[in-house]
Amino acid sequence: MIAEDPDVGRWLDRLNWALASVPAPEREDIVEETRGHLTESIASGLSPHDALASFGAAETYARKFLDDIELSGALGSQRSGAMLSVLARRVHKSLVAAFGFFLVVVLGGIAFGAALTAIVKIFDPAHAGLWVGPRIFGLGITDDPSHARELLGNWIFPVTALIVALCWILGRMVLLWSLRTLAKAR
Amino acid sequence: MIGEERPDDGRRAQLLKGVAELALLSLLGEGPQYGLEILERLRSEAGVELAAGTIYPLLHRLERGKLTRAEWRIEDDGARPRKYYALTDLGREELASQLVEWRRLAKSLNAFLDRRRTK
Repeated sequence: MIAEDPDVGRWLDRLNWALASVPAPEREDIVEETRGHLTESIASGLSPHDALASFGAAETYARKFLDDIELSGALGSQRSGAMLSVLARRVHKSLVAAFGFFLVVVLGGIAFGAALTAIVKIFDPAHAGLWVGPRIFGLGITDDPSHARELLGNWIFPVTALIVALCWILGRMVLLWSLRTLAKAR
Repeated sequence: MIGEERPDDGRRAQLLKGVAELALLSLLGEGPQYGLEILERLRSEAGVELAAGTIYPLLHRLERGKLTRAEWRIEDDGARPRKYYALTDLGREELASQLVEWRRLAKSLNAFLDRRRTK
């Protein structure tokens, strides 16, 4: 057995460290496979420097696995929080991620606004609702209800539930579309 | 650590990105193979020069996507254990589908380019 080159050993240590968030069996699998490749390449005559150069920096190499694990993990779990978190981490480097994240934030804002209006309606029915007037149209809270007419009354509660449900469904569809598009583009 | 990249390398890498998966699936269609062997065969037989830092994440992605399955084997020659990859049924379906798509695309693109060359 040939002793491992010190540079190779340090590089593999950095790879192991960079993959710390990956479950141990999968991490060991990746590191051992890489070690095997490096050992065979060096044994066949390649210099340790050239063998390592074909992998690039350990952290960059690890990132390729981490991106894949995060993306497939989020898609596999179908959990909205996990999918949103993965999408948010890619906003700065992908137009699809940025667009998807923006849409989800807008839908979340609409749902939050509608839910807040419905909650205020319980405690202050005179100022919350769906308002129609010369300069106003929309669901929300107004300081001066004399300038507009409120249309929904107590129907605001089922309407809000419908808006929140629609935003939730659309938000999940956007998340799934964005992540599947990112997965295909890898 | 990494050598300076020539302008052609970036263009070539972009072109290879699309075909690397197809070439890899096609190679695995012949039977189980390990990473270094795959890399060398893609280089010598297909002219697809992938870096080691590209092939293993790709193999990992295909394995997670259940297009391949992998197992560690110890060869009789006393070498280190090697991780062998083989196509699954899903992988074979994906290979067939990508081959149809590639042939269709290559045919229409070649015809398009040839028409312009003869003008």
